Amino acid sequence: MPSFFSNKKLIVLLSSLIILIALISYSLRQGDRSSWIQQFTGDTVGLFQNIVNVPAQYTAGFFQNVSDIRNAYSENKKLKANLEDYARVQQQNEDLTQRNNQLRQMLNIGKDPVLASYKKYPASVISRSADQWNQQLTVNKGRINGIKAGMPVITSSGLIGSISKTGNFTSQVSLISNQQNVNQISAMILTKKSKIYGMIEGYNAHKGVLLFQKIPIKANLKNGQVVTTSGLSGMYPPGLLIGKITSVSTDPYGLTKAAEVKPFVSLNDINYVMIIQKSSTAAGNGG
Amino acid sequence: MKQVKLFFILFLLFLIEGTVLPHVLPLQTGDHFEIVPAFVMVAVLLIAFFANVRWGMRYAILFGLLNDIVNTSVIGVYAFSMGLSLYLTYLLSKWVNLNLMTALALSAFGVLLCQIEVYLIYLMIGVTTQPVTAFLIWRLPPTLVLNIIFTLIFYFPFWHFLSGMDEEDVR
Repeated sequence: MPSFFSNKKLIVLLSSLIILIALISYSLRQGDRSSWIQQFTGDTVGLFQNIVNVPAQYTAGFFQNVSDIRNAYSENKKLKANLEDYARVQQQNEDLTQRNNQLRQMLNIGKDPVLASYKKYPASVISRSADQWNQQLTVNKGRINGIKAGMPVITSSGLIGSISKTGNFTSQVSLISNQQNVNQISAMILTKKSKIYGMIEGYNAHKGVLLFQKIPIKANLKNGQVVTTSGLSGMYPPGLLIGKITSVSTDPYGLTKAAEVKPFVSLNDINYVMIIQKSSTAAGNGG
Repeated sequence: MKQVKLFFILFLLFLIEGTVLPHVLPLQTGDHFEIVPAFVMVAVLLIAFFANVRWGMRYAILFGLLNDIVNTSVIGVYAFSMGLSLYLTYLLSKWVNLNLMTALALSAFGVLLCQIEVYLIYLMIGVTTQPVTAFLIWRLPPTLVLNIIFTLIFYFPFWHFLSGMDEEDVR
């Protein structure tokens, strides 16, 4: 019977363990910078991913269309009902915009950049980490297109994460469901009377909810309230939709409240995203 | 020439894992189920069984590293785990007669080993906080089922390819 590990193999195993630990500590310290090897690999693979992605998306889109046609009728009914409401909301929106502009003029802040304004770069998702431990995507826009690390990423229904690393033609998006997300999100709930501030700190993968914490104990939280970014952190512009509150609790020490927030975007099914660049001057003011 | 073909087969499997499958399979529709494709791992294991363990090792580390760089934020974890689990499974494979059934069982074992290794490392460095029960109940069984089905489909064509390779490349 041969011994399971010979001496030579043991040495190989131990040295590869040392290399592993060195590589891990290197990449943990690296943060949002990426070495040229990583960029080169990412860009080269990204090229092929782009090519493969097109037919894959068409095929998936075909099956999606078939199932869409089946519930088109009921959706149409619902949308018609919504559309009647839409005209009224639009009118209200115009009214408010006008009044807002007037007030801004009166206060002489008309020429200041609107804090909430931003530029959008559309991008499509070309790859996703197959193991669901790394909650991250690769999108087909990179530094050439003006993408920088730290930019927020949204879809049409809400916030999904931020850019963690950029290559020349591709960049990685770290989702809000990523456990490693060191960037906590400063969030708020807008009620009629006031704003309730708190922090999104973590994600419960089993329930599929974000953990909204450090909310003042006196705040009046209800299920179904909408959580948006507050813009206080300066990283995200204010008003990006995050999710809806599904349950409210008090933290273990009884000093603050905590809530569970169900994201509006289904984070497992993302095809197209928009990368947001805030207007440059607004950044310093904490947007 | 066959080596280049082999590389492209593996690269294609790698692209299928990351780019095609998220569109085609409703992988993550269930709230709890996690089905993880490990097609490259299966292919690399078959290379080690039927062609040459050195090639298998080389490709395991290469594609592990590629996965680390492209799809994860920590470099080295997949390269190490794929290499180690490939070698351990290869050692086991020497004890059995290789046919479809044993190759299926062994490749499932290899995938299982790789998942466990990556899970332990990720747990240690805090990439994931998935509880052990969720890992054992919701992740491993569906993952194994998917990869066994893939092995069943992939086994015979790939076996033919590899046996053609033996005649040409081995001197």
